[in-house]
Amino acid sequence: MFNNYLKVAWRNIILHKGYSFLNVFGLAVGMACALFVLFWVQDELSFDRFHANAGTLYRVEQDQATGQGKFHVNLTPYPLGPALKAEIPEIKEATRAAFPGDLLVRYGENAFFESRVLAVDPQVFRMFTFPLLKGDPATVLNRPASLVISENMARKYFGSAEPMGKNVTINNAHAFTVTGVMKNLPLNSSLSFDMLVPFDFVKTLGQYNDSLGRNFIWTFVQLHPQGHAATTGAKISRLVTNRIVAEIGSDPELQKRMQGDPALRKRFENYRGPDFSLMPLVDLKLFAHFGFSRNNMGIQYVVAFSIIALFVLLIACINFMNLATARSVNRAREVGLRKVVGARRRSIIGQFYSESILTALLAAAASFVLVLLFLPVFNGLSGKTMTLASLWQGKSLLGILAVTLFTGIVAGSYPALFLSSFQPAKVLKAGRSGGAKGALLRKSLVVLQFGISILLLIGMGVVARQVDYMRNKKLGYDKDQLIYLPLRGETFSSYAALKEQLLRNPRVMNVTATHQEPTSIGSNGGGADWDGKDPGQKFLIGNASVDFDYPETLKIEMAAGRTFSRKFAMDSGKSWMVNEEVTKLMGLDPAAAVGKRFTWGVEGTIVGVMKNFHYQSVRSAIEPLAVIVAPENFRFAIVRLKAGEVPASLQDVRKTWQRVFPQYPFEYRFFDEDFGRMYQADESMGSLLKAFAGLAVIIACLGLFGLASYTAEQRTKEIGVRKFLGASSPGIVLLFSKQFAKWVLLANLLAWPCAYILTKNWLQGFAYRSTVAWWLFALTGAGTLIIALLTVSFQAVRAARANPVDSLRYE
Amino acid sequence: MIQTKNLKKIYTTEEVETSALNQINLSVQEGEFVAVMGPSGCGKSTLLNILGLLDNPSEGEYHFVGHEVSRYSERQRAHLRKANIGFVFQSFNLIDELTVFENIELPLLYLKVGGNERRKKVLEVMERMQLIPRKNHFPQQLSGGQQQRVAVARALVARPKLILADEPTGNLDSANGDEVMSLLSQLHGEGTTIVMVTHSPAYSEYAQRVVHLFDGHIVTENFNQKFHV
Repeated sequence: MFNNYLKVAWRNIILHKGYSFLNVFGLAVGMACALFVLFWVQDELSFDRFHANAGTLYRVEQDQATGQGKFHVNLTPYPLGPALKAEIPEIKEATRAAFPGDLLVRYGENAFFESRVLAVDPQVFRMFTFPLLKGDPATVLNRPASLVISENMARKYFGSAEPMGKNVTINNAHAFTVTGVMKNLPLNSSLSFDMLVPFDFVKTLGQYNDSLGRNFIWTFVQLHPQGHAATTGAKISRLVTNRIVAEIGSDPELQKRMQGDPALRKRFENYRGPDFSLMPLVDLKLFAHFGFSRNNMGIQYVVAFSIIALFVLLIACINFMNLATARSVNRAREVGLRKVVGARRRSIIGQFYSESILTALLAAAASFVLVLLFLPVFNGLSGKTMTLASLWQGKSLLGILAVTLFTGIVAGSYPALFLSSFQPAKVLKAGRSGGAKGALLRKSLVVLQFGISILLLIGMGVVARQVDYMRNKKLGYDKDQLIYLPLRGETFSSYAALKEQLLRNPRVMNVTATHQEPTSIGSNGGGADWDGKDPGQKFLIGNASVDFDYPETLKIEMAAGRTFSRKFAMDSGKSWMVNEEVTKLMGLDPAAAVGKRFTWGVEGTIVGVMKNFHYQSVRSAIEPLAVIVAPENFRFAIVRLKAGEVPASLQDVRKTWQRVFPQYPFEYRFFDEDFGRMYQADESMGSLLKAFAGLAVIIACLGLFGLASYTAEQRTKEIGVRKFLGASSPGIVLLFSKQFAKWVLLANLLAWPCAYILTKNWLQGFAYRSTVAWWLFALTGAGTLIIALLTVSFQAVRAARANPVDSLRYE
Repeated sequence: MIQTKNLKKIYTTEEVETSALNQINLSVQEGEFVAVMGPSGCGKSTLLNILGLLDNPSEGEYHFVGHEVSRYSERQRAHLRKANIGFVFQSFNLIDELTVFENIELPLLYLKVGGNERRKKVLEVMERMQLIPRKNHFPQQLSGGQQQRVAVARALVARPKLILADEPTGNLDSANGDEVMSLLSQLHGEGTTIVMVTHSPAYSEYAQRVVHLFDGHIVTENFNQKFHV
C-alpha cells in the first residue's frame, strides 16, 4: 500500500514539474534557513557542555545594591576562592582565574605578546575538562614557575621540537618551564586561553589585593552533587559580609570614629555585602550579563532567530498547502475513487502525508546542498566556523530529520485533512469541490505569508537604522585619526619619554595616556564621596587614570572649569575631572561642582567638568565618570594623528616607538575600528535579518506565482468569455491583479501594528535609539505590492493574451 | 440481496429542501440485472449512490446482504463496500498517475490481498478483458472503450457480489458501448448481480428488469420478456 502512495506521489511530482519545482525549491530554501539556525542554535547551546563536570560547575557572581539600582558583577575578590573551599561544605572545589594582562613571552628569538593567558589554581584540571597531551594534570601547575601551553602555542614557540621542559622568559624577567601541553580549546568554550600559569604569578606581578570588597578576578566553583546553587550563593553572601565586617571593624580609626558618630555605627552594624549567586557554567554563553542591565544578546538572538527561521519555514509550508489545495480539484476524483474501491479516510490521510513527507525529503536533500553552498556566507554573517564535518554528525542529522518531518507534517496536514474529507458521491459526479471554503483559506494563508514577510522587512529596516544611528551618533569626542598603543611590560615606565619624542613631530597633534582601553572604560566602584553626599547612599562611579592633555587629545569639550594642567602641582594626582553625570548625582550644575571636594580613593578637588562623552558602547547610557592623573597606572598611550596625513604620521609614530622601545613590537589600534567592532553583533543581526527577510519574500512570491498560474488555468474559460464580450487585455490583467493586490494590502495592514510594537520594543533595549520611521512602513507596503503584482502579472498577461477561441474550447 | 423500504433522500441547502428520492421500495435478487432509467435529475444517481453505500438515505430502511445499513457510519460502509461492491462510472474515473495494472490492482490493495495472489487475480481479469498488451499503459494512452474496460476490470477484480454501473456507456461511441454491454451481460450470465443506470433504451434491454424513476419516485417497473420465457 505504502508503495502505491509513493508511486502516485512520485508520478504527481514528475507530471507537474512546475508546481513540484515551486514546492520543492520553496521548501528547500525554507528548510535551509531552518537548518542554518538550528545548527547555529545547537552550537550556541553546546557551549561549555564538553566538561565532564559541566552540570556542577558555576561562576561566582554578585549583585551590588547602589543608588542607581542593582549592579551585576561577575568578578570576585582575589582571596575568595580558597575561603569558599575552606568554609562552605557544598563546595567541592574552587579555582581562581585571573587575567594577568598581556605578557611578553620569549623563547630564544621568538618573542610575542600573549593576551590569552590565565593564572589559575592547580585544581582547575580536576574541575574542568581541559585534556593534557603531555604532563600530569595532578601536578603540572604545582611548582611556581610551571607553564601549561596549548598545542598552538607549542607549535608557535618550539615548532616541531619537544616543548616539555623548555624554558621561556616572561616580561624579560621571569623564567618559566613548560610542564604541560594541552589540547587546543574547543571553539565552544566560553573560557578561552592559550597559556596557564600558577595563580601566585599575579602576586609576583604585584596585582594581588587581599580585600574581600574589591573585585578583580573570576572564581569558579564545583558543587558536590547534592549542593544547591541558590543556598550556596546565600552562604557566600553571609561569608563575605561577615569577613568584610570583621575587616573594617578591626580598623582602629573606624572604631574611634564610630564612637563619636552613632549614625556611622548604625550604618556599620546594618552593613550588608553584595548578594552573591552562582551562574551555571553552561549558561555563561547565553545568559551572562554585566552592569545595570540584565540583557544578554546571546539568548535574545537565539530566540529571535529561531522564531524567524520558523517563520520562513512556515511561509514555505504555506506554499505547499496552497498549491496542494488549489490543485485539490484535480485530486478530488482520485480521492473519491479510492474511497469507492474501499479506502478509509485514514488511509487517504496517510497517503497525503506520505506525499508531503516525500516532497519534504526531496526538499531536505536540496536544502542540504543549499546549506553546503551557503555555509561560507552564513559563517561570515554569524561569526561561526561551521564545516561540513561539524554538520555531519548525529545531532545535526537528527536535526535535519526533525526539520524534514516537521515540514512534511505541517505542510501536508491541511491537504491531508481537507482532501480526505471529500465525499465520493459528490466529487465523482460533479468533479468539482472545495470551492469557497478552500479559496478563503488560501487567501488567509497568502495574507499570513505576506504579513510575516512584511514584518521581517520592517524589522530589517529598523535594525539597519539603529546600527546606522549608533555608528553616526555624536560621541562627545572626535574618534577620527585617533590611535592607541598598548603599553606593555616595561614600556609603560618609559611612557614619558615616548610622549616627549612623539610631540616633537609636527604630524602628531597630541598625546595622552589612560589606564583602560579608551573605548571601553569598565572599572567602577562605590567608594566616591563629596561634600553634601547622603552617607547612606552608595553610587557607582566609573574611574580612569589619565594623563594630562586627555580632553585635548580626545577633543572632549568642557562643560565647566578647566582641564588638568602641569601648572598646578595638585593636578598631579590630587585633582579630579568628572563628567556631567557625576554633577547630576551631586545635584549641582557643572559650574557649581567645580571647586567641590571629591574623594574617590584619593581626596581631592573637582577642577573641571567634561561634557558627557561615550566611553563605552552607545548601546548603554553614559554613566558617571571621574578621572585623575595617575602615571603609575598607564596602560595605553593615545595619539592624535594629523588629519589628511594619517599614513605618514602613523609611520612616524612607528619609527619613534622603535627608537624608544627597540625591545617591544609596535602595536596600535584605531579608535574608529574599535568603535566599529562594538556594533558587530548588531550588524550581524542586521545582515542575517536582511538575508532571511529577502528569502521570505522570495518564497512568498514563489507561492503567489504558483497560485496565480493556477488561478489563470482555472479562469481560462471566464477570461475567454469576457474577451468575447469585449474586455481588453489590460482590463483582464487589472481584473486579475486586483484580487492579489487586495491580499497584499490586507497583509500590510495586519503586519504594521505588529511590526510597530515589536520594533519599538526592541529599540527599548538601547539607551540611545533611532525612531520607528513611518516611511519604512510605506516603503515596505509599496515594495511588497509591486513585487507581488510583478509576480502575478506574468501569469495575468499570459492569460489575457490567449486567444479566446482556444480558451473556450478548453473544456 | 437488496431491499429498500420507503427510502427517502432529502438535500438541504441554505434555503431549500430538495427531495431527491421519495418512498423508494425496491428489491433486487441475487443474480439479477436491473436497469434504472429516467430523465436527468430524477434521482437515478442518488439511488445508485445509496445502493452502493456511498451515501446514507435520509429516511427509510436499506437491507444489503442481510444487514440493515441505512445508519451505518462511513467506516462501516467502507468495510462492507470494498468486499461486496464494484463500481463502473460514466467517466471511467481511472487514476491518471497509475498504470492499467495498478488501477485494477487498487481494490485488492485496500483489501490487503497479498502480493502474489494480487498479481494473479489482476492478470486473470486483465486476460479476460484482453488488456494484457496494455498492462503498463497509463489511462491517457487508451481509447474510451479501453478505459471503460479497465474500469470494468477494476470493478470485477475483487469478485464483488454486486456491480453498480452508472451510465457505463455514456461517454462511449456505439461500438465501444456495445462491447461494454456485452461484457456486463456476460458477467450477468456468470451470476453477478448488476444494477445499471442508463439513458439508452437499447442498452436497457440487456437487463432483466427496467425500473423507471421520475422525480424521485419509481413510476414503472418492466420485466424483460426475453428473460422470462
